[in-house]
Amino acid sequence: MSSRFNAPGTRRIVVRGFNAANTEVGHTEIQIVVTVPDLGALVPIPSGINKGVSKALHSTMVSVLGKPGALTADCSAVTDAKIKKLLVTRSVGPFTVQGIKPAVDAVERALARAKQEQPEVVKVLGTAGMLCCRRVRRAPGQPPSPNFSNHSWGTAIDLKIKGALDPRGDGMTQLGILMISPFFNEERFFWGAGFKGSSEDAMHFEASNELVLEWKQKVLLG
Amino acid sequence: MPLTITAPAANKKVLLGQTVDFVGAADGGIQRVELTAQDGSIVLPRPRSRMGSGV
Repeated sequence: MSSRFNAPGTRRIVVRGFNAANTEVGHTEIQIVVTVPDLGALVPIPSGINKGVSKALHSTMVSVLGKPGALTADCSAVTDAKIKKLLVTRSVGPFTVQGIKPAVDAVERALARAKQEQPEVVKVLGTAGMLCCRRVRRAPGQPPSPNFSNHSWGTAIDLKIKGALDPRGDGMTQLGILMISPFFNEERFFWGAGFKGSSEDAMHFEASNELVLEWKQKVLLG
Repeated sequence: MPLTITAPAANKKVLLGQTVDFVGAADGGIQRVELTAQDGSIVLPRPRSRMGSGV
C-alpha cells in the first residue's frame, strides 16, 4: 500500500495482522523519518493538471462582470460600481486578500484544505496579491495586450513561497505551489502553470471559465 | 514471524508529501492487516492486496 505523510519528524508505524475471527495474531513495527524538502525548489510542471477546468476567457469575464476600470499598464482603481460592490478584503488564513466575494471564499477554502493537508507549505506561503486592475502583461518588445488581466476583477491570486515568486515561462514550478495546487483545482480554479509557452505562470491561480459561468448562473455576482 | 515489513527499510528518510510504499509478508493465518502511525499525525488506510495471506 502507499501513503503520504504531511508532517515532518520520526514516525513509528505499528502493523497489526488479524485472522478470520478478527483476532490479532501478528504485530510488528517500523520507523521512518519524514523530512521537509526545499519547498521553493523548482520542479517540472507535471502533466494532467487543471482537470475539468479551463482558463477564464476575456470574453467571458467582460460579458459576465463588465469592464472593471481603465486598461492601464499597472494597478489602477476599480471604477465599475457592480464590481466594487462585490469586493471584499479579508484574511484567508496565511494572509489577507482583496477580491470579489465568491473568489475570496474559494481561496479561503482552498487554503484551509492546504493547511490541513500540507501545513508545512502554508507556513511559508505568501501572496503577491489578488486584485490589480491592469492589462495582461506581455514579454518586453511585444505590443500591449488589449485584454484585462483576470486580477482586474479580483478573481485571480499570485502565490509566493518563502517570499519568492516563481519565474514565468520556464516550464517549472516551486515545489510548494505544486503540493497545494490540487486544493485550488478542487475549488475549480485554473492553475497558470497550464498557460502555454512563455505565458506559463505557475504562481497564478484564477477562477476558471466554468466557475465564473457557474457564479453567474447561481446569481452570486449581483 | 507471522508478519514482516520488507519495505521501506527501518529509519528510511522520506520527503514530506512523497509517496511511501509499504510492502510486507504475512503467513496464511492473517486475513487482514492494519497500519497505524502512533503519534496520531496520520492514520493509514487498511491495506488490501500487497500484504496479506501468503503475499
